[in-house]
Amino acid sequence: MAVDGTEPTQEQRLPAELRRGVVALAVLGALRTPAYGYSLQQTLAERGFAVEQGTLYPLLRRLDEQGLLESDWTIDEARPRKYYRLSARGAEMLAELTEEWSRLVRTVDRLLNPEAAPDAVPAVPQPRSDL
Amino acid sequence: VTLIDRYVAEVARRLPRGRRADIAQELRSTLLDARESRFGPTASDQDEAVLLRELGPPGRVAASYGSPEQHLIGPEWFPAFALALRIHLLSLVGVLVVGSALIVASAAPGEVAPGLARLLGGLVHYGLLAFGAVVLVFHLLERGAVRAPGAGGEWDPHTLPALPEGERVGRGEALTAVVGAAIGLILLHQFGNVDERSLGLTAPDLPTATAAGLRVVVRLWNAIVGDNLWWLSASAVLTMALYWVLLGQGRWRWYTRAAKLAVDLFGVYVAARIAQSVIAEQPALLQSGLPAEVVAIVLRVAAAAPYAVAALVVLETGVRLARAWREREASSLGRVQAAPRR
Repeated sequence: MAVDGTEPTQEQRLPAELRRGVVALAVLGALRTPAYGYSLQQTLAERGFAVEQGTLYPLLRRLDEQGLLESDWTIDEARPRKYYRLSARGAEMLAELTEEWSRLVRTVDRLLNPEAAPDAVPAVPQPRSDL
Repeated sequence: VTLIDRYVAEVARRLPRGRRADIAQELRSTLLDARESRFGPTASDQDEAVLLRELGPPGRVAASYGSPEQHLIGPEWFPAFALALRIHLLSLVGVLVVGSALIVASAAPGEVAPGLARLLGGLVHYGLLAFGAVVLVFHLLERGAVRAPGAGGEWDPHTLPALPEGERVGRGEALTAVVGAAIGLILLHQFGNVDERSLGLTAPDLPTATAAGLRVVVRLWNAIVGDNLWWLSASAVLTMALYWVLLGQGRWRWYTRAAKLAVDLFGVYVAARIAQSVIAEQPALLQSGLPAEVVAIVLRVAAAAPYAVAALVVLETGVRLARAWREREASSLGRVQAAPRR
């Protein structure tokens, strides 16, 4: 929903849907360094990948529950904060997803600019169902 | 209590119990980080409202933490569903109480137990049917993607409900109990008139009613009260003492709750004694000239009264405990400070 309270149209949702597919990848990549929710959101925004709180926090929990992240509460700071970091399984998944992402980018680039990329278009890998 | 406290409590009460505390804690921590980062240490109520408006209504945020396919009725509709169920349960209890009283008062002695059993059976049957209908209606609303009231369109964080104030004792409730018990004590001892049982008004005595000054004593009442004067007085004094303490403390504690239950149970015992006294006065009632049917109803009501009082005590205790549990939980979710360790 937009800040003014109006529901976005189908067309307005398209860019968000495009980004939603890669939020998990961006989050896993950013969490090679441990971070708590708000600091992660800021980091992603500073790097040009703004994610809404309502998307980021449930995603962090899902990745945590899937064992791709590890989390711990810390009470040493101004207020209790839950820190997330990449787990061993998450690191493997990140490597796999990064490879798939690179392939996907090359493929879509070729589809979007057919004249600049004369090579045959390789098969697009099937999306994983566990994310 | 800030808007953030109220917001976190509203999101939390829509989440599954097992994940509630952890998510509420994290949400609260995040919102405080965001507030400090965007508005500095002296953020106003309006600043918090801006933050919360951007995040969206509590129902939508709670829904984002679970898959919509996993629940029959989602977080947006759950508060309305819970309210509908509460109304349904209360109406069932109301029908049970009124129906039982009517059966006890009007059925022939051998018909009371079967009548109560029929009433209970009917209530279970229709209660389950109505419960199913309520679940079905809300599930259809959920699956029909109908937005719950307040879930879509413009949302104002200032409309968030206030956090429960904990286990507070209403001043009005405590004062009423103290004053009521005091008035009861005075009336009992001023007009109970134990020693003048021969004086008074009964139905056949009306024309020859005797007044001792301004004191008018009903003989039957006098006899019943006379048998139980000190029990009634003890009940009134205990009630006064309990509510006097509560008036000073301002909130319920475990020992005042236990004392309240003890006073209530003592009240049930006194009610049973009074019922016995009324039944013992059957000859006097029959001689009083009252129609036999009326006497029979009075005796039946007297026999049922202790059970009715006991049922009320159980109901009130249950409601109080449930409210205390809910308030404690909601209050702790809104204001939680200590972090859970994993």
